[in-house]
Amino acid sequence: MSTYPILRARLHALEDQLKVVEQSPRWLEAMSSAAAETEAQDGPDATIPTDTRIQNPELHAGLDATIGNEARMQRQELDNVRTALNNAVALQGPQQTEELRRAWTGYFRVQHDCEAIFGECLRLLGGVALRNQGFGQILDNEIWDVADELIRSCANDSIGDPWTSLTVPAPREAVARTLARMIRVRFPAWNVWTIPLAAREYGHVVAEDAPKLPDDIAARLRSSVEPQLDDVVRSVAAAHKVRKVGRKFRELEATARDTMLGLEPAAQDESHAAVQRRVARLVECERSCLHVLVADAYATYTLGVAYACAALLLRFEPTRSPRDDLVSDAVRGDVVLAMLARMNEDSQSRPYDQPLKQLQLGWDSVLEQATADGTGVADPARGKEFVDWVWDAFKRRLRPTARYPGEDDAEGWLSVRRARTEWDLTLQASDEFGTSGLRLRKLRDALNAAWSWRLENPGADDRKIRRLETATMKICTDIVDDIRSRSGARQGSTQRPEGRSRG
Amino acid sequence: MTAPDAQGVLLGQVDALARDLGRTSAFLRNLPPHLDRVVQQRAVGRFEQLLQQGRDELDTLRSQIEADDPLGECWKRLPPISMQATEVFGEALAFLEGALARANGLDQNLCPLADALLDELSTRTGVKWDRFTILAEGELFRDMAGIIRVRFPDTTVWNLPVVAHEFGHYAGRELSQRGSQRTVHPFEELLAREQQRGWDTLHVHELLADVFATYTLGPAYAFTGLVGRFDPSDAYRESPNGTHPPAAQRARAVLSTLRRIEAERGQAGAFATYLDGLENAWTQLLADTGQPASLADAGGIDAADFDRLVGELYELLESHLQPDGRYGLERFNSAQQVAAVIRRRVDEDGRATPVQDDVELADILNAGWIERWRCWNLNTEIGRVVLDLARELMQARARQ
Repeated sequence: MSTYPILRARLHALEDQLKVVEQSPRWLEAMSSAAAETEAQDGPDATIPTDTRIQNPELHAGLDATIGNEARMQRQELDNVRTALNNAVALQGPQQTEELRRAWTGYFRVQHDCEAIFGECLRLLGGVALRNQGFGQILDNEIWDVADELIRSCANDSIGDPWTSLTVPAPREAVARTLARMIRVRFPAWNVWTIPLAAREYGHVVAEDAPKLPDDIAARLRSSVEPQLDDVVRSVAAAHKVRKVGRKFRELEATARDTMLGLEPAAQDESHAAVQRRVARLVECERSCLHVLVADAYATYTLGVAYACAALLLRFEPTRSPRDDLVSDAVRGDVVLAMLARMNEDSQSRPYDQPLKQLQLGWDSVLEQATADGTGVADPARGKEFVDWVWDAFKRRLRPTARYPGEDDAEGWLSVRRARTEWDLTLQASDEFGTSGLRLRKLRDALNAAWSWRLENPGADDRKIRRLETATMKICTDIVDDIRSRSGARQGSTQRPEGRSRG
Repeated sequence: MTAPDAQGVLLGQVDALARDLGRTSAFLRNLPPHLDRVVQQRAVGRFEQLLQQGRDELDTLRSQIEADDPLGECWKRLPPISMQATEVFGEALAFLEGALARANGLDQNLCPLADALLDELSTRTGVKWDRFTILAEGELFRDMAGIIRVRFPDTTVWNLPVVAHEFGHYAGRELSQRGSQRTVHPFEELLAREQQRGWDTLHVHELLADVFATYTLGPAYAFTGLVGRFDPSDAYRESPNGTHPPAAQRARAVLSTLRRIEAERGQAGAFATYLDGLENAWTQLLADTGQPASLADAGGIDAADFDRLVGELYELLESHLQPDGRYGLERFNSAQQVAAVIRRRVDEDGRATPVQDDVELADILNAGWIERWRCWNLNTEIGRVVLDLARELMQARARQ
């Protein structure tokens, strides 16, 4: 029997699926309408301010430019497959077989590539569906506004590009930039203490989108993979009984090098294929490790103490086996501290002396206990060497505003110190954390103020920490309102309504 | 200068995790009222048990830290708890997002049909099932919350038989029999035996799921797998992550299961010419993509031992499922009658020709494939009629 109809049917089905994904901006609209209808039926849910529902035209455009564009490209590929199939019908004998094989191979390549697009689309739409719900006042919808705005300012300060995606809940942190540049916030841990971790996720976008930074990372990747190629070739050669002197061995070495450079040489036999597989795996693993560390370094670079505290005190577990089998939390901790130390050394006034000492003492104490039997031991010298390299790359490739300001009078660490002084006064007067008159202009400053207070008061009781959390949330939403009203004044967009629930 | 110490940091992480567990419980207790009631009833209790277990473990750890147990040991006790909690959070998030996506119509109403199909298979096979399906990135059954995932955005009826495969994963674990001293899990025993013979445990799991789906759904699953899903161009290599056996092995398991059903008493010729047609189509797909024609030709495994393994999996189902579980001659005859109804509906542009009362969803799916096989160019029209029939059946059941 002819298998043409089978391939045609598969092409048709895949094309239909791509159309669904291409329409994801429309799904967003439909979901917002559905949420509004539900509200009409079930009564308004005070926890869902209407303006926080996802109706942003920039987001629609961003989605269309990423997921939509990718879906259109894959449909074009399907058209090519269809053409190959139609050509095959007109041919005969071996030529027909060859053309048919090309069509099937093309189809499976597209199908494979589509899996990532479909997954991304569902995660985004599912995340939006979740964000659109109130869950009876449990889901702090305003935290998403804060997270979105924090990432938007990271994007603007770091690479100057508008960020048109969303922060969405996710089961775990990403190890690379996602197609739609979504920022994952780990479910259900979203509050002012964990929001700095979202900057790490944006670090993956920076690693791939900042001009020329990907080239630096690729060069670093090559320098870490190259010394390992010899081991790979020798081990494959031994397994396939290839002599270490001779042409075949040199060919395997060339295959290893080409694979590292992404040249995809044609596999001549099973030994070449084995070298390709092993080098490709090695490159992928090293790339992921590098991206994880670049993301940690970036988040520290741009958020300073706030990220270091969130990561070291709340998230990193040095006794845990490396996440995703990539890199241990002990190594990541070293990188974060080395970056903060580098930021401190680079400022004349050494602004982070005290928090750095506190964090270093705390982390050392954790490592001493947690790695007493030798598990998870890190190598601070390697962390420092990595930070020396990434520091240089960030300085050259990112905007100067990317770095958390340590000595700027108007914002950054000095504004945090002023706010802390103000809090000392309000705490003395009323045992409350003041939320007005603090002159904190940026979200990263508010988050740093909160974390630095918590860092200096490790014995503070839970009630006080919650009060600080509530106050910080109020400060953050005020900053978001201010940013949006200013950008609304510039662009004529709608302001957020007054008098909605806070925190 | 005060600084956080190892004990303070550990307590901070314990408290943060406990807070997350509490928040997840709160989410599940406050599901939006418009979510499918069935979804709510079937999921929340199971999650709550897992979350409570995590809270209990954290309470114990907290007491140990406060009682000055060796701190290094306490630090080592956190990762297993936090990793388990991360798994639960992932499942809870998948549930919330999947259920909301389903409530927002992203599944094009396929999930309720998938649920109905699973309920039907549960009734026929005797494997108790009270869970549900959600949309996800790929088909999957996760034991933790017992949710079957339907691949987005492939929400056509042609994809529906795949849920039977996922149900097969669940069913394998549920098969049990009372021994004199204890409950015996025959599939677990089979897995242990086959592992000793050199078969990959994950592959045997997948093969059981294929055999189960074919055994309970008949040719509909075979069509979906061989014609719609399996990759003939890479037919002799396992999946990249090693979890699934090569497509050629799966195709052979599926076809062999249909042959075994036909070899049962009174089942001769149960699947008419369709079984040969499927076998020929798969052989042609292999030829068109330049692959060896059979497992024996491709080498690598002992084809006779593979057939023995499939035979054992088949016997396992034959001896542990209810007799109605097998999709055989009688049901496939019914499917062929439904196929005639589909043809009339397509020809008459959707006019409602009724089907008999005793039709099942499995019959409608088989009928859809019979018609699709006969007339590929009416793929869309046939799919629409199959969907209509399936929904009519669900409505009729709801009225009973």
